[in-house]
Amino acid sequence: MLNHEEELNLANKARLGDSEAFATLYNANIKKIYDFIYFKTLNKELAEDLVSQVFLKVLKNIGQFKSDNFAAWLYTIARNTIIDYYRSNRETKNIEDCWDLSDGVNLTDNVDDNLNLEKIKEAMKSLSVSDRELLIMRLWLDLPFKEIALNLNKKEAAVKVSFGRALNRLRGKVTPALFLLISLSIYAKR
Amino acid sequence: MQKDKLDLILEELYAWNPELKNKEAELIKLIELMVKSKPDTKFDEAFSEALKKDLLSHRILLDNDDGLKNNNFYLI
Repeated sequence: MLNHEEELNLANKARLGDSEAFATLYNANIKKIYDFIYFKTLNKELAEDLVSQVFLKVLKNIGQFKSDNFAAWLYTIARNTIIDYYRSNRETKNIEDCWDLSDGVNLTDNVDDNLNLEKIKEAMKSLSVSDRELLIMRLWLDLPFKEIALNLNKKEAAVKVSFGRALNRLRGKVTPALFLLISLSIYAKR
Repeated sequence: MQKDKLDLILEELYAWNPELKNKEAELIKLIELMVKSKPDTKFDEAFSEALKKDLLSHRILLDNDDGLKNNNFYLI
């Protein structure tokens, strides 16, 4: 795993045409960005298509890279690529990821089968995009807060507070009946 | 979920809001649910390698100094 300085150094080399630097950046980030996109689309083929678009954009635009934070730049491209996809494929324009699909659309039609995901679907859908993204980054991508802060271009302390609030809001959305179901399902498998 | 990871998350939450300690059992269930709900992303190494090869084969190294001033990677 590359640290922030190494990544920035490689990005600057890639900006100047170093293909090995680009390949190293690609290797370090492809799975993280693919997973990030998958968690926002829940569809393998779509995630592969969008991650291809993301790295093509990176390739085409690295020459203009002037930021001091490559990770934030990369995640912004990924986020915008997902938003562009949903907004160009839906009549409703306020969709930013698959979790924003309206109640009339069955999420599981678009999602690879996952019963646990089905249980938490409604609670996740009721959260804001930024709340969902924080929970996904910390609990699904397993990123430490320091890295999440870099990806979001925010202070680590602020990210921790936002995560706490997001988890608390999720707690408020999960009903006691669901908690019972979850407990039974978790403890039955132990 | 690994206990140390769960403990770390709880520790971070309590640092933000110590009152959440009163809800520890509920929080543990919620975090475990989230982690158990994590979809398998089916990341395909072959796809990753093919995409990298494709991207790198489509780029042309800068052929003059003007490239340095602007966009050094472009598609053929």
